This record gives sequence, structure tokens and C-alpha cells, in this order.
Amino acid sequence: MFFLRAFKVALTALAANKLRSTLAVLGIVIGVSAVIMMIAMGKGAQAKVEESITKMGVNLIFVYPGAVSKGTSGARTQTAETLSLEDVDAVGKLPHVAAVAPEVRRSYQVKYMNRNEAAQVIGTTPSHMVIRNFKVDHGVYFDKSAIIGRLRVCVMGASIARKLFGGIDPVGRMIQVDRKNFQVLGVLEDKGGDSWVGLDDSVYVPVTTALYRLFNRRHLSQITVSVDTEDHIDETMDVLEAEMMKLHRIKGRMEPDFLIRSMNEWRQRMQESTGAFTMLLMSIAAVSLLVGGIGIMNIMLVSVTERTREIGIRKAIGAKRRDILKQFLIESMTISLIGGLLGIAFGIAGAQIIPRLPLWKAMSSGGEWESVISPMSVVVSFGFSCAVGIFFGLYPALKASRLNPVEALRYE
Amino acid sequence: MSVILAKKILKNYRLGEVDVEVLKGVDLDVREGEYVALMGPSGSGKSTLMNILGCLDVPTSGSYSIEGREVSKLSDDELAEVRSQRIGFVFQTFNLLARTSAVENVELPLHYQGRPARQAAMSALESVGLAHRHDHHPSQLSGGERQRVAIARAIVTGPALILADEPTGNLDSKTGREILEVFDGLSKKGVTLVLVTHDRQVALHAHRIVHLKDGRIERIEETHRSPALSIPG
Repeated sequence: MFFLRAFKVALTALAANKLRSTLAVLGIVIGVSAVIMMIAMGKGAQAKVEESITKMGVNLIFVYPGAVSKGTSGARTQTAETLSLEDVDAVGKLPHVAAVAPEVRRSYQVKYMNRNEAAQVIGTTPSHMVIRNFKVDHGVYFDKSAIIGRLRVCVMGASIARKLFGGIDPVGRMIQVDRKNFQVLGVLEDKGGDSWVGLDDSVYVPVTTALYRLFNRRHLSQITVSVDTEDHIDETMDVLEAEMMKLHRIKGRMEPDFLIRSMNEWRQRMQESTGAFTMLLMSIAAVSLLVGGIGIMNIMLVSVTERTREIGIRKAIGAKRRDILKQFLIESMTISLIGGLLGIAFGIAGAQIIPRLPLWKAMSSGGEWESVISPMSVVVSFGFSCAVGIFFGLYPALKASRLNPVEALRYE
Repeated sequence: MSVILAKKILKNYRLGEVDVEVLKGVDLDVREGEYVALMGPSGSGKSTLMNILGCLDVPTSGSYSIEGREVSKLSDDELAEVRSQRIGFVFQTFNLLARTSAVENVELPLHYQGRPARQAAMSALESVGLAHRHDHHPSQLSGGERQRVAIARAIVTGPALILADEPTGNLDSKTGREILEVFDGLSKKGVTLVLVTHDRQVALHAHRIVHLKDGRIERIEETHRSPALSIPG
């Protein structure tokens, strides 16, 4: 009953100066909706990264050549050429290893007739398809005999196939890589939205062909190991490290010439960076909420000065300090409450609309990016806006409550 | 019993470097049911004395008790409590809340007491003859009507004392007389009234006129309305 009446008094007071009150409310609306939108976009980015990591395959361990050079933050030296096909065979025999695939990569201009596209050529084995969770859309993947025979055949990622061949079916046709002819055996299924990994933009050739007939080198860029279950990842990493040490004859204090990373570590790094991204967006939004709070404080201070006489009257007829304090606090809270509710509505609406704007699509390099509205962000931003109302309303309310009634009554 | 018992009230204001003595020892005794007018030229300390009597301010020294309770040393909130429970104010400029209807203005003192308000407010408005205009806002009321609302607000809590500061000062003489009739009516019902005025015709409505000059009581004049005169002995 008290709050209902107090709320009505506050609304009456705010209605007396509609433009001013509306502007103060607007400050909070912008702040709250910005917080909700920014968190939604950040969460969307996180979900997106999660999704593409899952698409890259799960339960994976990566072995890279070179070692972590000490003193730098996880940077590794790329010069070392230490991984070999023998390593791949040995690793494949370890327990809990479901599949293992070598990878050797280089960028080329890939040609078909008079067309010319930049693509990554990846030398690998059929296990790669299993590990990376690929399916052949049409045609076939090259098999073991292609590897033994170092055949000049290839399988194309969906995206590069589309770019190079347009509407034509590439299966059976010849493409040129480094002026050598490769026959297209198959086209992979489109993974979609993976532009940053580039798997759809790659051309896959037998690892032996890549090493001996194309790149003319003996060492691999990477070995990818898939583990049977997630629980075995840590154990397998240890076993793998020990095996690699043995294979490369690394003993005692010697620095290993390889680096082992699990997908989980990648995921963690991604989560950290998208988490930081979300935090950054959120703190920018929080600043605007703060500015909204300063707006409330500003109009409340003006309001207290303007209504000095009213405060004097109220005190004369028996209002105590806390009565005046409550009155003005409820007024500033009413602003932040209305602003908060409207901000939630605009924030949710905005979070739905922004990913569909052409400008946003252009900025996020054409990828589909849905925002994810978490109930938590709604609750937190609403609570935060109420706190802003109390915090920034407190000083003006205290000022009002401490007015001397005699002077306040004399105020014109 | 004395509603107002003031002894040796002193009030100083510090203006820059100098202390200005506004009240220089005022003794005043107002009994229950009395109607007292405070008169004096401007600068005589009327308003200051009024503020102290109304518990809006405290004296620099001296003692002041309302219905036997010493109030000269109370804190802000304790004074607010005394104002809320025991005092009703009527001002020259009415001092109604503008965006609030007549009845809501009258309810306000009861809200601050935490008491149910609507019924009491309506009957207070009725006693000043304004029940039919209860939902009008002050801007829709004439000066006389506004002052009636203010009187209703002053009496709604059943205070021990009503203080009126130039209540007819902003009204034409006819309306002023009507307002004074309302006060006369309240006085007849036994309400204790203190009225500040510079108009002798207004002051003559009271039982006693207290003449202030230079911060002191110059003399106290019994009017023809004084019960002491009309009831000999």
C-alpha cells in the first residue's frame, strides 16, 4: 500500500516534467539494452566458435613440429622439420588412438581451364576425413593405394569446388596444381561457416603425393590424432608425448622438438578470447549504463532544487528525513525501473535484429551469426539498472532530506 | 494546561562575522483553547518566534515546552514528529502541493503519521465547507478555497496547536473575513490558535494580542473577545 502510493507520487512528479523524465529514462534504456545486446552478441560469437570447433572434430590431439621457445607466450618455432610419416605409423599403434592423420600444407593457385583460385593444398590420408568429421558429397575419397602409388588425385572442399567449377560437376576432371595435373575423385560435403578454419577451401591430396611430387619435402606440418573417448585424452597425451620422445631420441634435459596440443586446449583458448570479447562489449555497454545513471543524478539534483519549497511544506506538516529520502529515492528508482523494463524490451528486440542487418553480415565476413540472449544477462542488467537508480538517486535524496525546513519554506 | 510555555527564548543568527540577536528573551504562555495574535512591525522577530513555536527551528537558548514536553533541544526528526503529531500550520501563501488534489493535500499529514487518511481528510474538508471540491487541484481553486484546504490540512490530525502565519495576507478583505470566521469557529470548538499578523482588525479576532518589538514582547493586550474580560471574576 505504501509503495503503491509512493510509486504514484513519483509518477506524478515525473509526469510534471515529461521531457526531462523521458530523457533520463532514455539514458537507462540505452544502457540496459546495450548491455543485453552486447552480451547476446558475445554469447552468439561464443556459440559460433563452439560450433566450429565441434565441426573441426572432437577428442582431437594435435602434434606440431618445433618446440615452445622459452620466455615467449606459447609461440612456437615453425622452422623445425621433425615430424615424419614414421611417427604417424607409430602413433597409430598407441592405445586409445582411434585414428591418426598426417597433414602437410601449402598454399597454391589452383587452376581449372582458365579459372584460377587460391587454395590450400593439404596432403593427408583417408583417416583425415574420419578425424575431421567430413563426408564425401559425391565421388569418392582417395584410398590407400593412391597413397602407396603417390597418385596425382585429389578431393576438393565444397567451397573451392564451387568457386573453381561453378555449376559443373568436378568429379573426373583435371585441375592443375603447380602446373601438375590432378584428377578430381570427389567433392566433400559443405561444412558451412568454417571460413576461418578454411577446410572447405582446401584441396586434399594423398600425403605421399604432396610430399614427394608436389612440395618436395620430407616432413609433415602436423599430425592429428583422434582419441576413442574424451576421458582418455589426457592419458593419451602423456603416452603420445613419451612415444614421441622415444621416436625422436629426446632424453633428459633436452628440449622436445615437437609440441602437443589437445582440442580442449584450443577450445579453452577460444573460450578465453571470446570471453574477453564478451567482457569488452559488456564493459562498453556498462559505461553507457553508468552515463545513464549520471543522467538520473543530474535530473534528480535539479528536481530537488526546484522542489525545495515542496520539501519545506512536507517537512512542516510532519515529514521526517527518511520520508523525504524515500520519496526521492523511489522517484529515481522509478526512472531506472521504467528504463530497465523498456531497455530489456529494446535489448531483446535489438539482439534479434542486429545479426540480420546487412552491415553486420558484412562485418562478420558473411558468416551466419545468431545472438544468444541469456536470461542471466536480462536479470543482471535489470538488477544493475535498479542499483544505478539507487546509487545515483541517493545523493540528491539525501540532499533533499537534509534541507532545513525554515529555509526550504522561504525558497522561491 | 499550557499548550505553549516559552521562557527566555533567545535566538541568534550568524550573518557573516556578526551575531544578530533576533529574539532577546521572549516569555510566552498560551493556555489550551486560547486564541492569540502575534503583532509587530517587520524585523520584530515575529517569523522567527513563529518558527520556534512551530518546531521548525530551535531557540539558541531558553526553554520551550508544548503541552509540558520540552522541545527546545530535540533533533530534526524528533521535531518533525512533534510537528506531525501536535502542530498544524496555515501559511500566507497556502503552501499546498500543486499537482495534488485537495483531499490528497489534506491526507498528507496523516500519511506521514502512518494513519488511514481518506475518511478523516474528507470530514476535515467538510468542516471547512469544501467537501464538494475535494478532487480539485489547487490551481482550480480560488484563494479563499485554497486557504480552506490548508486549514483542513492543519486540523486533520487533531493537533494541540494551530499556527497561522498571515493567513489572510494574500486574500481580499471579504475572503479574508470568511477565513477568519473559520478560525473563530475553530476557536469556539476549543482549538488553541496562534496567529501572526500585522493587521489590527485581524488581530482583534483573538483573545489576546501579543505585541513584539525588537525581539522582545512589548505588551500584551486583552481584546473584547478575551474570556477573561467577558467572564468577570
